[in-house]
Amino acid sequence: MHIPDGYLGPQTYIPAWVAMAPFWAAASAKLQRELRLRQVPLLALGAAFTFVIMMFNVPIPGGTTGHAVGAVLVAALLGPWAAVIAVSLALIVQALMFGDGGITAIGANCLTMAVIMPFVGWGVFRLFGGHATTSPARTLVAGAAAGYIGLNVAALATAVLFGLQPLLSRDAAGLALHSPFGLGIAVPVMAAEHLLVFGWVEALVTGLALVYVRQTMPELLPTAAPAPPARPWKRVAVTLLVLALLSPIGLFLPEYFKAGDAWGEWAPEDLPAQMQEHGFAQGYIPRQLERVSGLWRAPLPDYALPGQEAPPVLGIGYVLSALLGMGMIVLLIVMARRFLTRKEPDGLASGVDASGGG
Amino acid sequence: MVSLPAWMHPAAADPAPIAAPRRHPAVRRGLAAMLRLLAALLDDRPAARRGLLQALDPRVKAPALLGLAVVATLLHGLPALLAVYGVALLLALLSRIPARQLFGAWLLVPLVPALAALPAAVNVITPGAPVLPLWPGASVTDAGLYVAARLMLRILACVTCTLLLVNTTRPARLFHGLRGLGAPKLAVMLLAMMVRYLAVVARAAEEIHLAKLSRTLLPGTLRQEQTWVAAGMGALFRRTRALGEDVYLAMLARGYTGEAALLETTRPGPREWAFLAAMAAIGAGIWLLDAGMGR
Repeated sequence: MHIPDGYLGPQTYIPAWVAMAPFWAAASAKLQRELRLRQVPLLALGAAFTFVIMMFNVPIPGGTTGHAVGAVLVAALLGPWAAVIAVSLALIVQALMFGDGGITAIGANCLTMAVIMPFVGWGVFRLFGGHATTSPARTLVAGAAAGYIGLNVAALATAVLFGLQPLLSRDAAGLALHSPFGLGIAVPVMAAEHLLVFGWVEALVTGLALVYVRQTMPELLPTAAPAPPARPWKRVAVTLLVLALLSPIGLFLPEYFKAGDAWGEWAPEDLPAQMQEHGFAQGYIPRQLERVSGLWRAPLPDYALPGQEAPPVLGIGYVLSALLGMGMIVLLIVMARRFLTRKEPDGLASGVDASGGG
Repeated sequence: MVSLPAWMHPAAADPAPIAAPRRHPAVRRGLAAMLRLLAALLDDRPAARRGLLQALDPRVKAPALLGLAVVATLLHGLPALLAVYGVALLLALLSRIPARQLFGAWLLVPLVPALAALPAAVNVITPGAPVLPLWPGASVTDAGLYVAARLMLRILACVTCTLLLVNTTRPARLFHGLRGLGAPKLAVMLLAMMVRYLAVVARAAEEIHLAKLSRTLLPGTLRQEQTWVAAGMGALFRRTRALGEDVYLAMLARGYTGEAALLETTRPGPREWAFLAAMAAIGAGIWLLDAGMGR
């Protein structure tokens, strides 16, 4: 995952440095507010911990070993913003002192391993209900899922950075100046090795280490999210209603600015005219497009009620379509929530609460 | 005079005894990695040699050498990349870096990324005139060889510049060099403190590995061994956190008020500025020559 020097061109590594600057600034500001004086030694030691856990070898089937990045574990233990700083420091030291990862690629490596990985992992960990009061089994699942998904998303981002190089930096002869492996090679190779091997190592390490912490020092894990307000539906419903009433703006503004249809969203019958406008000698509807375009007839085509396509009345169709669409999405989410989540047994949660005080 | 504990002596961190991982391969490999880290952190003998780069202030040396690495990423032609590599080798000779170190570790570090560049020579990645058939439908091409050679040379030049900086600067002073690149004082302080305590945390991790190795005759099941690794990380976090609290209290006791402070007793002199100017001129010259040779 550590991108070495030479693989990324300046068109990539300079924007990566620029992209990292606000994350470092925001992390620094947030930690200064929360930790104040304590932040310096805790972060420095946290960075040393991050560095060292990358050197723990994990046995994997086949008699060989692998190692984890540990960024999700650090995010779960220190919080995602502290992880940004701690993992960045570890990556800078690895690049400067040990040649592991390039100097010019520090920005890109930090973006993937110190921002994307901890934040995605942290989000998944909380989504799966990972906190100090959940059961060990759920902590294991939440930690493992967070480690697996966090690492794979970071690996995908790294693969995209590699894969963009042949497109972004070429010499006069059209040959790749930096990484010569395009998206078609970089993404499948990185995805395969991380989905099949390294992702599982990261999942195991993150899940089991969090279970260890959960069992021995639960106070170090994040606390449960605060209880939602008593009637959150009311606020959500009002917000959605306001948004539905505002939806005709999308109808009137393009009309006012003579913007035309959104690019690429033309109806098949508009395609010949568009092709001529874009330089084709003669426009036509591709045969396959013509064949499949009639397969599905929308109940409210173009968000309009049947026979009410004129602009002022069309606004009512827009509002009704918005309400109908939002209603269906809310219904799907409620059904998915009922299906996917299970209520935590009260006794277990309260028992952990009692033991977690020390 | 206060003497260092025995384990902090460079000779104490010798990874040689943990060479053949037969039983407990994961534990032994982890242990060997910790010992290599300790050896690298504690051994400042290369930086203590008398030579050109060792005598320079890191606040000037870092921008000069890392700037040369950046120039290497901008170049198009092989002659220009060879020139950067040549400049780096010349600086290594003037700094009396031993040849064993120069051609041993210096070739090993970029070996993996350089080997990863080899597939670029095949026509599947870089089409061109075939020069060496591999199997039906696949061959090494002239353009592919050029792309792979350029990437490998670029990696080698960049890594050599970085290793020059590391091998001629004491770890404690290394991050002061980042001040010369505009890094904030707090960031440099955090890095310096991290490196200072990295040896302590690595030592704690080494103890966890040694404890496991000395208490078990045979490795357990895969699941047991994986659980041990995870528990080892959890235990290390516990010790790290406790150490962090101790360090914080010690800093408070010494009057720490939250202000980032660095011990910078010297200032770059005329010799340092002359070196920086010379390196800037060399870097710019190579870049302009490369641009002039027709991109």
